[in-house]
Amino acid sequence: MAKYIFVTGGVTSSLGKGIFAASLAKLLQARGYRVTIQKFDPYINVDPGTLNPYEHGECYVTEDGAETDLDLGHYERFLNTPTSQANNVTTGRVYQTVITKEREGAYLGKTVQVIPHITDEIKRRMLLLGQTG
Amino acid sequence: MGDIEALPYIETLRQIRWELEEHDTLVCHLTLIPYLKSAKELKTKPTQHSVKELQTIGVRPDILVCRTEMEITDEMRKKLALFCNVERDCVIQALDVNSIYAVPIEMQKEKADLTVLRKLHLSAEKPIDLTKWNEFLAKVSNPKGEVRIGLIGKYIELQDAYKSIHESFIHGGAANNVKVIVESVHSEHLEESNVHEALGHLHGLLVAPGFGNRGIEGKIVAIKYARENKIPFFGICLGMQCAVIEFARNVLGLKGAHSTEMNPNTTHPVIDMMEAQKKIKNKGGTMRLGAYRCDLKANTLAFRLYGNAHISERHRHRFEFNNTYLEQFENAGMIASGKNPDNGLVEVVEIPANPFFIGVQYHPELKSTVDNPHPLFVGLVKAAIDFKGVLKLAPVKETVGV
Repeated sequence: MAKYIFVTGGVTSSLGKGIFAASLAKLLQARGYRVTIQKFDPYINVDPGTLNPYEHGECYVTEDGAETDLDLGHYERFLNTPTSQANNVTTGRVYQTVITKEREGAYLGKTVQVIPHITDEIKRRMLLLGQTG
Repeated sequence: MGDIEALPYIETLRQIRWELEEHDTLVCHLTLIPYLKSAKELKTKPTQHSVKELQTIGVRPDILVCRTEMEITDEMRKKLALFCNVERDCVIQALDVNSIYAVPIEMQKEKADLTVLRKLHLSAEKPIDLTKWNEFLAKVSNPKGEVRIGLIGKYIELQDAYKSIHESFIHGGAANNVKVIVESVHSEHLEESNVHEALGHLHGLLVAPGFGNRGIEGKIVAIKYARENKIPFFGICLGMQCAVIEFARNVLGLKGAHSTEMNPNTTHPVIDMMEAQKKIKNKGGTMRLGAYRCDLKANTLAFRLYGNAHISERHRHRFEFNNTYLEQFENAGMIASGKNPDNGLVEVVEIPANPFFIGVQYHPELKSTVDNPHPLFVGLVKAAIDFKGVLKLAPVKETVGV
């Protein structure tokens, strides 16, 4: 049974959401729990692979070849467990999925909107990782 | 938070909390408690505002994690709890610390794990086991001395650009009981005339990954200096390719040797685009990415460091060593000690005549962890110690955040 801990940031960026999440995960792991992380990046780029390092720091590549956010690197270094494509979600990737589905006719003629279609896709990705770990 | 882009995520979070059972979700809100010098006070107002903002879109945080440079008093914790609608023990202080690896311990002191487990209705009966972590931390905080390693790249102004390399040096240093001082050297500023002055004092050199022409000649100058002076050298990705170019030009005498990435018309394309890459037009997600196997030759430096003939490492590149030149390289003293078993792509080059001169096409820095420091970084640090000995610790302390 999966439980979900969400980490949000306020006041300013660079507060260390990634390090906090990795640290909390480390403590839970050290108590025998199985943990994984998912990083949500609100930019429209599908992945950070095309971003200049000045914009977003290093691009962290996972075993399965996903170009991801460097916070996943902290996670792997702290937890000693590999991450994958599913651990990093960007707005670009969410929209790409939704728009592809729309083109396939999956929404049956409905108007495609941020709520519920984009939020449902974000939710689907959150819950999917919760099931697979 | 606060950006228009983040709204769909916060809305999803609001919905998911309704859909799942009450004790299956938890929201930790990270905020800043700034210190105002003029008032000599920590300020809680920004935190109150940011929680209020979150609440107006329907999300009530359960736990507040407060970044601060000074201890938060009990009085402040009470105030934060009251004004932000959280329980008193759900206000967690995240004090600035010297190393990111100390953060889990700080969080443990604040009982963050116990609070989280309680709120999620999970058992905290099993005792916590952080033995290995604490051993590592003890080595990081009590090194026997330091070594200075040059990191040569073009994005050095920005520490995040080489994050994994910096962390790998921390792991590799701890494994050798030393602190690695990474001296960033901008490749664009290096030339024959200043290379000794810039690099002469260093115990080892790492030439960083990258793309494009900028700073390439500086990297090549640095590699020549390292090769000729037998300074421990480690090249990653483009750093390895530069080592190949340097060797081609200065040892094999192939004038104008280059990578076709920088000079498509070079007379000696010792680094060339992979065949599979030539038809690709899109830039995103199309490089050779992720884990691939590599077989190491026996009796080589790479083999000794890994202690294994079959390894797997992660990649991110479009260009590769041009195998038509391999025989020429090997005859002159630069060997391919690691190759992909499926297609013969050269993954590791080394110069056996030097004590430590190795270049890898892949990214070992992505696989170094606290539990498993990467053997190539451990090896480079050890070679750096062997080369010049260990320096006394300099009494400078940097502070990093959570």
